[in-house]
Amino acid sequence: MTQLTLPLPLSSHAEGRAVRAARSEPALRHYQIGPVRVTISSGVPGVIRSYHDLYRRYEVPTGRTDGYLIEVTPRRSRRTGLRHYHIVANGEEAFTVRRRTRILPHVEAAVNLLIARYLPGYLQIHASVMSRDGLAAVFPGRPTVGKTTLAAALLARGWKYLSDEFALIDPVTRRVVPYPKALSVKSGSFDMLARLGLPIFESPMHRRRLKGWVRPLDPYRVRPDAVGRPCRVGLIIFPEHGAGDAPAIEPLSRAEAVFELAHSCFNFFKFRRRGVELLVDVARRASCHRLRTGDLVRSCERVEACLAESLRGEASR
Amino acid sequence: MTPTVSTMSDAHLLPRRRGYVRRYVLDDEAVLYDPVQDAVHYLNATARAIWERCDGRHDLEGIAAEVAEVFGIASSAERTPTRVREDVRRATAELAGNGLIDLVEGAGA
Repeated sequence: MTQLTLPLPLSSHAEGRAVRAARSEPALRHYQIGPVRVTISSGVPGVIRSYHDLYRRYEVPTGRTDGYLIEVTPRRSRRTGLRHYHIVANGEEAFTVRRRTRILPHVEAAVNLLIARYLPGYLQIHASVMSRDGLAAVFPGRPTVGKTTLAAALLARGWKYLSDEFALIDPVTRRVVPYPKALSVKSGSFDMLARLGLPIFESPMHRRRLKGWVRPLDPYRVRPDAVGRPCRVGLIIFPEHGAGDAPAIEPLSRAEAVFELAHSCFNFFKFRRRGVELLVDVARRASCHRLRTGDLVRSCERVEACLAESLRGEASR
Repeated sequence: MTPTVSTMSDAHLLPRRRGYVRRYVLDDEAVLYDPVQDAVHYLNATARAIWERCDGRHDLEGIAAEVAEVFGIASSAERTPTRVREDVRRATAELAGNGLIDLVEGAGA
């Protein structure tokens, strides 16, 4: 009888495969973030892991045909030999980036594009949204006015987070619904927000076209109850930059607020007259202001004073 | 030639709202929605007062006189201040330019 000696025991081969399987990441994962269904597919190592680090709580077992598919594929240019990463959103090329540090923020941007184009059922305002005491404060505005920084600062002060990108208004309930994506914080705000106690430096840094270096901030890393629920709009505040100045808040007429909200809508053309009536209805029940931001803490105090006044007004009605 | 505010004397121009434009009043101001151009317009209190008098019966002078009285600038017995007339002229020109009113030639044009 001879003893057959194998180079390695079979059990070790199996263990090795199990270890390699655990280290490698799945090529596909599905998520439901608020009303948004996203499937991320990637042949680039680390991409899904990075996304999952932010959105693990929202993972769901299967995708849906009406969800959004984001695919990240590496390709090498035949002409230059350089590697590029293509981010494809529902079959259409959305972004091409050269470096891995740029992939995650452009995946998020691709999801935002699909939401703006295709998410049915909500009037979408380009805004950050926070809530307190059952009332939502909507901060509409173009990029770089400070919507996300203001939202993050309020989060640090105990407000609940609904979104830093979209105010999704339900046309039936008139309530704003959370789309609690990770806050995308720009480098100019890192130190300010860290001083407020936010774990901003615990997130890796990524580079995004037009925004520069950003860090994603998972609201659940701030508090386990950080994300708010659908609620009525009580404040509409248009922030404007006033770096270094003392913050100032002034009333804005509701009619002018409606006009500016209509121009901040991504999908107003889908709602038309219904959209105007929805905005008019929302504005009628809200207090409207312009905020020239300055010192972040004092800006938040101005917002909180507005909220307190709004709540007093409601209590007296 | 389509009448414009600058081509006709005030006495013969009768601004008239286009019927399909929707008005939404908020406090003392208004928002207009034009479904043909899918456009939203904001009217402050003065512009709203002017818009409401664009009924095809008031001429520009009449609008100016009423607006001056409503806002306490001049009583009905006093001559309408020039600046009010100019404001009405400018506002109606802008409303017409945005396709929200028509400028109809009244009798005696």
